[in-house]
Amino acid sequence: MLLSVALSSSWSRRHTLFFIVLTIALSVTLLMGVEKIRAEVRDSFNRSVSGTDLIVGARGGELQLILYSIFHIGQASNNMSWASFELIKNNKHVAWAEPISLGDSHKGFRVVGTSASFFEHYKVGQQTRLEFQHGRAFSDLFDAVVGADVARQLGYQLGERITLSHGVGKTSFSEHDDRPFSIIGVLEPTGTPIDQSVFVSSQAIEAIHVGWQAGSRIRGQQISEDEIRSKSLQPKELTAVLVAMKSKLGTFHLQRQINNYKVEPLQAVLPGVALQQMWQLIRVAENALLLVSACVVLAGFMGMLAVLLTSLGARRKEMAILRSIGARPWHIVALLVFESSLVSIVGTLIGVLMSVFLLMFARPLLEVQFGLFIQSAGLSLDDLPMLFCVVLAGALTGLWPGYRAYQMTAADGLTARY
Amino acid sequence: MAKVLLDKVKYSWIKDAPLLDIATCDIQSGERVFIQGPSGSGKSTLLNLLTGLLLPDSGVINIAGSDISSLSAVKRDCFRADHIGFVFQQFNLLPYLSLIDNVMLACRFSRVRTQRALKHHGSVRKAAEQLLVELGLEKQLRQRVTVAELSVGQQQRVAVARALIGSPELLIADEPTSALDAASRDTFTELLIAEASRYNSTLLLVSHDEALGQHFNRTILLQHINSAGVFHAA
Repeated sequence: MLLSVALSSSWSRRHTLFFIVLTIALSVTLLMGVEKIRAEVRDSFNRSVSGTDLIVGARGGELQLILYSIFHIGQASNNMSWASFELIKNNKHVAWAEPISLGDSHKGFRVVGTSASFFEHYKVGQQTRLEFQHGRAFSDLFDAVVGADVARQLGYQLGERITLSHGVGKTSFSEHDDRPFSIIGVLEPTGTPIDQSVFVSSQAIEAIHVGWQAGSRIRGQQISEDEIRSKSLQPKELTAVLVAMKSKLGTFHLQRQINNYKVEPLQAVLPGVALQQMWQLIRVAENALLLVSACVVLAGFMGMLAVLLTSLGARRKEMAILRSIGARPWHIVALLVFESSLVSIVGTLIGVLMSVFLLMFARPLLEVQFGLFIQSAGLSLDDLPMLFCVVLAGALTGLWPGYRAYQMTAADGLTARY
Repeated sequence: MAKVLLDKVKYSWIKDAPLLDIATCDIQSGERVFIQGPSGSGKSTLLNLLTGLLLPDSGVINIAGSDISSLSAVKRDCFRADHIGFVFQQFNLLPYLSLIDNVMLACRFSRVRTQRALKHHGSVRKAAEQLLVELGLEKQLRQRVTVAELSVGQQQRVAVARALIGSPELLIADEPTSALDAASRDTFTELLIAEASRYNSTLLLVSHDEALGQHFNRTILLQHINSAGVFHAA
């Protein structure tokens, strides 16, 4: 009954309300976008390591260890010895242990020295194994496997030859250009730092540094590929080790053992615990971002409040007519609350659609420019409580104009004239 | 039809400065009464009291056997919806509703009037259509013109249709002819009286225009029944 009157009334003022709807839609778009990117960043980090129970590296910050070994952010201050790696690998509670050697790059992409079994063991997301788009894992010393982003951005295909650079900068003056690698495999996209990595064997990392000292090539020393192949390329050091345990119970035991290891200062961290530390660190920034978005939504509602309040003067006669035919005060309040609810719902729906479309279109850009892999631009169940709060806040915004309208009708009675 | 009785009704906006003090005013069922009074004489306040939007400081307002001054606010709203039709001076219609929806609106808040419309016409829509046809708006109804396309006189006739749908016992009109010229005013008043008779409604028209008195059974001069000092002092 009242609903159709309210709908017709709102429709008659659609030109004014359109701009309020637009304001709310834009603020919801921003809120949704921020929330989506925040959730996706968090998800992307959480997705990056799965099925790994411990990360072992030289003693330092726990957070720093996971940042450089998994996310390729920053650098290790120290390496650990290969002997310690062997010891961990041969522990009876360990299911598998994969070495990670960092320190080199290819056109800004990190080079990861590891073993061929890394591709079988390492998992991302919900225990998802790495899959090959093309090719296979490396088997030869100078084979390389590239992540999906590396292949896409640099246009690499199987068989292409690439050289590595010393250091991790985008531009390097120390090229390992005398030791080219052949791309033997391209990985499927995972939405993790794996996509932006070049994988070679740990021995290959050792091989490209033969004839190098303190980060530079030794002058005058020319070593052929055959000479290198004939050398013992057993690495002496590595950056980190990823460890999976046979049983979860053994994890804490091994962690304690590693942390108390007297021969070498090592540390073992649980990825989940380290990630929690990271979330605590960035929660302030996340909350600040959300607060700004919430303020934008609030500004939208303030606009709606202003429009509803200013329209009341012109709607006094409408209220008087409704009162004359028996509308009760709560009908008048409900009329205003319904209108604010309607505007909020429509604004929120448009905002959600706009955010979905914007994220869909911006997805490739976010991926290329920021390495942000948006898995799904659509609405998720987690978004519903937030959207419900937005609509509820919008509906409640109508209470104040509703109360003012009620006061006006009480004062005007049936004699409102304008 | 409703009998309207005001007994010792007093009302003041400001304490100790009564605007209305009516010892008695008795309007019989089916009467067509014209209440005339100049601006500021308390006509609007009287209407708000009769429709239950204001409560008297003291006294009894009895309409169709109910002392509306003793009812709760919600019951007064229901009483108004069920038993009183109201025609405003102007701006009577909701511009965003069609003619027929404006007329049917009165039944949306009253089950009693809806039942009556159903009983006599089979549906609320048919009742509204018949009223509009009786009031000479058949062409406008057929052409589905909007409220804005109607003349002031036509708008007032739609307002009468809305006030009469569901046959309320009391029809109150507040200066309904103030925006009409003399010829239209007389035509409209005659039409209003005829329709009130057809629907067995007691008619109470309030205006400052004494020329309207010729159409009514009885004219009550507000200043004669109102012994409050405010108006006399003015």
